[in-house]
Amino acid sequence: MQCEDIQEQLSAYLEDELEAGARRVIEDHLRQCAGCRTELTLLRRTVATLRSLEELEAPPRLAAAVDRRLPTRGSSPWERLTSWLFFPLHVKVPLQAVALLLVSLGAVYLYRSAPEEADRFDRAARTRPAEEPAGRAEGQAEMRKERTMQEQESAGARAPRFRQEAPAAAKPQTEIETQEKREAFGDTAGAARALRKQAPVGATSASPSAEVILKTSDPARAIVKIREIVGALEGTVDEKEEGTLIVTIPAKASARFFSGLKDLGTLVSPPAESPSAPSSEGPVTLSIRLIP
Amino acid sequence: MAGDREAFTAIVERHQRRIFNFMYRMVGDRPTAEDLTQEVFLKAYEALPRFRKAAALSTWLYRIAHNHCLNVLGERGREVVMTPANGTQDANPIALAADPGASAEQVLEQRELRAIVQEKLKELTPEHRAILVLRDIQGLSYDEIATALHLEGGTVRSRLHRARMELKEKLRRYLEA
Repeated sequence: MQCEDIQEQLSAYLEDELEAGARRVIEDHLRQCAGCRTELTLLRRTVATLRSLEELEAPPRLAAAVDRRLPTRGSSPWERLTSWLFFPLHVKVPLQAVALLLVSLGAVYLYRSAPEEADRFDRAARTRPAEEPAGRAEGQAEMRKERTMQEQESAGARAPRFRQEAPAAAKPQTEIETQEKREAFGDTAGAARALRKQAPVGATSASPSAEVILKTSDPARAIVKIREIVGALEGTVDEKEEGTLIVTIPAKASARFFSGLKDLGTLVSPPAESPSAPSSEGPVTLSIRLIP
Repeated sequence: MAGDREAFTAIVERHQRRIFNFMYRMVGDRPTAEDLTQEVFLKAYEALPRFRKAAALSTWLYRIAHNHCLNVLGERGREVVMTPANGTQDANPIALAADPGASAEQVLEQRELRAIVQEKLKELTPEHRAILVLRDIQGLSYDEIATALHLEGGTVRSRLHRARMELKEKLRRYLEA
């Protein structure tokens, strides 16, 4: 057997783990090989030195130090979490109450500011179809799609807005609610249908709901004034052709609008106050024709 | 709950010495060893519900200590530099006096050799160091080492042999003198 093979077994030999036959082979080799005897001696001294290393005493108060670092309450993660969340009660509970109040106020503030934002989107969307030439089906479809996306983006304020715009008296309440739910869950087709009903698009549905003829001595000045009035009422104005304006205003602002018109001239063909909707809710689109 | 803590404190008191010694031989530095020993018992406290009685508690603690030590050495690269003075200082006069035939010169030599061994231990890989500490310093059986280090019995023997041979080479010039 080679020296390398013998030395591979020296550790087991020292531990007296070898069978009698293997042990005898090693001892025979050791008797003849001074090199392996030296290696055995060095290995024996190494192990002896390791075994002579004294055991140290544990530091005093180590157990107490561990005890101080143990979790203060409970042993399970859940109990530790509870402890971390609520204890000491007199500090953490008031802090959490204040935090909850602040979060609630923030939520109310956001909820109240969101509809204004949504209405702005909605008005911008509603004026676009009137600017488009009638019969451009492709463009209209594109706009409907865009408006649907805007509807989805302003999801937080969607429900209150639809409640304002939907002709509630013309529909059973349950149908309105169903539609709101459908739209709230991203039913874009449903939303598009709703928009078509609420804000007319295209040649047929974009027609003004009533025509007003205003006789005025200064049509140019009247146009400027009408724009100012409509702007103040948060409506939109579009000059369709020479001397004819398409005005969209909130229905509830109709009275104020007509009152303003009367100051500009004589109403030749005054319409009903809210001709387009049976209720006072929703937008009203009027065609204002100015004649000298 | 208080009862649990008291019972656990009793466990700490019963096993702290061997875990502390294991850590000390692994890192070669008392304060670090004490800190790591505390961490081992904190980990053990968290893991206690998962402890299976099939293994001895001491072996289970060694396993936690070994894993924690490898993690710490790996993460922080914490190879504590040992000074000869540090090793000498730890020499136990009682242990040395237990060799009645030793002359004053031999006592000094033995003391120095122990300090050198402790220093050379840190030059080994943590795996080799751990198996030498558990077997030759702390006297665990092969089965206990296999459980503590999560190894097969054959691997324990072969790794132990390689670790001894490596240390022997590092000590050669001191042992031959």
